[in-house]
Amino acid sequence: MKRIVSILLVVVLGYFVYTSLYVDGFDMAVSDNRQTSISDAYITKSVTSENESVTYMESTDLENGSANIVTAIVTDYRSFDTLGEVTVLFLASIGVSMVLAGFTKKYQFKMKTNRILKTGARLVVGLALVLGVYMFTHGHLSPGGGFPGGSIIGASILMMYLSEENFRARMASFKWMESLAGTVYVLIGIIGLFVATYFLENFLPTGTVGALVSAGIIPIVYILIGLKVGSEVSGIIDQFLTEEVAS
Amino acid sequence: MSQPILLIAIPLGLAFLSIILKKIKVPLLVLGLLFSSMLVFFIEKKSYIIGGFKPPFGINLVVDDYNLYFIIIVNVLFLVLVLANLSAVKPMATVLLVASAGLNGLLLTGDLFNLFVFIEIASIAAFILLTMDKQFLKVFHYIIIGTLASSLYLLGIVILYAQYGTLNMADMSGLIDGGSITPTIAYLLIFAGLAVEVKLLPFNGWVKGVLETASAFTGPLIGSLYAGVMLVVFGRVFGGVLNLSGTMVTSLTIIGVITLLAGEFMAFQSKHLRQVWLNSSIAQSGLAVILFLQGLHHVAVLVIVANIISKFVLYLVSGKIAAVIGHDKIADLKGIFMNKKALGIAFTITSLSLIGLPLFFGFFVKINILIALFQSSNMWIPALVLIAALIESAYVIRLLVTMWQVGEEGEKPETIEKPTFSLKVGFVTCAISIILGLMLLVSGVYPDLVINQSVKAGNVLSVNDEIQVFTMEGGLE
Amino acid sequence: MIQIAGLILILIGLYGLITKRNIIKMIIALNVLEIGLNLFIVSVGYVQDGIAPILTEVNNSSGLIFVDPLPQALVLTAIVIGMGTTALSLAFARKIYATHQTFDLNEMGVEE
Repeated sequence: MKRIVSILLVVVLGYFVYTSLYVDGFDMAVSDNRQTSISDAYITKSVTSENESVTYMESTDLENGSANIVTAIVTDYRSFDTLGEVTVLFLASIGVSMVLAGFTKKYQFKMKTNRILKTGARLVVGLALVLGVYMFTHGHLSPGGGFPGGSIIGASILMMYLSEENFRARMASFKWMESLAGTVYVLIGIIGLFVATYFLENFLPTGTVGALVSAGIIPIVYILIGLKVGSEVSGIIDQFLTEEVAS
Repeated sequence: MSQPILLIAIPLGLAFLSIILKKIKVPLLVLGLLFSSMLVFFIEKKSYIIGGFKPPFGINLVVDDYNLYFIIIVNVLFLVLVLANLSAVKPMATVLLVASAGLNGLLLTGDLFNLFVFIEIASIAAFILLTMDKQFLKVFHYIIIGTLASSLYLLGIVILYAQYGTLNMADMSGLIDGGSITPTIAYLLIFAGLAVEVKLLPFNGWVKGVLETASAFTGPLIGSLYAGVMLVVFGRVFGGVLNLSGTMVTSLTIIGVITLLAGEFMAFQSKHLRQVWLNSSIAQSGLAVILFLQGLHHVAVLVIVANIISKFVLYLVSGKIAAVIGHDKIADLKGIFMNKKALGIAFTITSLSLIGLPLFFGFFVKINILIALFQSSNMWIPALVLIAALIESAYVIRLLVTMWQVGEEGEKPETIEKPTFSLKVGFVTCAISIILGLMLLVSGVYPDLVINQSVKAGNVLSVNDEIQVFTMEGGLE
Repeated sequence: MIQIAGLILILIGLYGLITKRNIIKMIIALNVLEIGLNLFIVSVGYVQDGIAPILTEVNNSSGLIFVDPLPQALVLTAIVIGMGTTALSLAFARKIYATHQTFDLNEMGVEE
């Protein structure tokens, strides 16, 4: 009975949402107004200066030098959101370790690992770590960036946990990395405030669009985010793979 | 360098540092909060750009008459709360720093998506802080509802983005007033998302579980500071950005009125001290929402200010009482203030101000609410608000009588049972309650400053020249 | 079309949140809802014949038609925030399991 009522409720709600979004004089699906003036300015990088067009490997010293426009928004135009986002992950990792404070013993899986898994994991872990680092150092040039890169690092740590029975990552060093990366991110923002005019302002030269060393503080910020996310995800994984010490 | 961004950046930086500098965590926390509560007095009213890109392309922080005084109140009270509970805050120092940054961000930000990020930061910090009370299942309930709410809010602003192509509040406000079609559903989703945080019916199931067992630390934090900040955000979004149509105002106002009446009624029936205050908070939120929706921003601001200060004292004292005695059942608290008179007087002033007795600040809040409502709308809203105020007076006076009473009336002095418990509440709690109580008393005698300020604050959201306020000097202007 | 799919996922998640009384299932329902939401946001930025907003050697000029990059940036933030809350709620779930030995709210004796 309850299910039927809930299904009805959800269907009615869905119908209401659908009509109000697609039928009643306003159509979400129409895409002619999608490319907004704000996004246009992001693409042509003409927020502070008039700029006709951007050409890969030719345009230099723009207001923002990232070839990946999403990265440009995430770490430059709306970098403050990203600082908040990093903070949410930081809070989550602290919260997990506080909620599971009594859980200290490493969790023992019922199934024993075998040689194939161990050898295979050792092979893959190194590659995955390199891939993670590659991703967050090339965040301004290619898809990816700090968050996926950091998650890949976390995944390789998870693989170590699953394959080696006695593996326990050295959480103290991860804590240092997490703390320092976060502090340096805030410091970069404050340096922007004092050296230039605004918090989180891109105060380094932006170079040529598409070059590895370009886009000012963007690669630095993304590397910091990658390290921070990697250590936080590893910390969360480490905390989850424990069980309560019977007291 | 009075940049408001430092109110967010410094606590965040110290929070990141504090996980490796574990030994000086608490000094870092106090330092950070001290810095914030000094800085707030030097901030100028204007729009501050972040990242060097002008809004609407970048994110900006806004300081104006509407939020400046809330920033001061919230930062100072946050510091006071932490100092009053210094022994309890050590494990939570990092989270508290982030919570302070989150609350400041909520008050300051001028961008709708950035607001979502700060709602998440503040509420996740609240989830973690609430684990201090060891009620994991109830906090889990809050996590689910809170996350659902912010998802709905996000869906709402994305629909607005699809329509107007901007996320900046001021820009959006201008475009909405420009008069193209806005899907009703976007407003409803944003309303539902914020309604969870401001505790409107039927979205307030989490409040009971969380605040019923709140300590003298989490109670004032969640019940007073968080609640106040969320109401300010609600006012900013619904008073300053969105432009609601007539029918929607009516239907959402009905939700507010139901919340107000149900809250006061449940408070009347509550048997436990903290239950009374949490239901009263729900009712006051309902009242503030009604006033915001009716466009009476200046009185809504008054309600929020009065609510932050009075609920701060009430939760603080109630939490301490519960911690000392072990429970907060009102029937067993007879005469509890007889041997802690100073605290009792502060508590009494605060609760009398809450119900709006003359000479207290609450009186001017109540009278201005009624004046504004009678002038602006049909009769049923002020009538129901008046009924709610009567219910409120009834239970608060009943509560005060119980807590001051030594024995039954007509009993002979020798048979009167002396209260078997002595109320050992710290000097600090006493001092804070008395100072805040005195503030309510002083602003009750000289209300003009606060009321004029609230009129200015209301005018930030929408200019209304016909505001009439009741003050001490001018009477009905 | 993808917008509709996103909305349907949101509604499925909402249905799960209303009916399920198991903590893990509630977390899953919340995640389904968030995925639907993210899908919806990304699809809002779609432009007819648009390409991914990255300048490369092939697509080397900003004069090309790109899809709207801002919703993609918003989704990146929303995904990470969703992941944070999921991790936190799973930690709560483990803690609750350690106290009650069950994930089911009915068995814990919690009222509707």
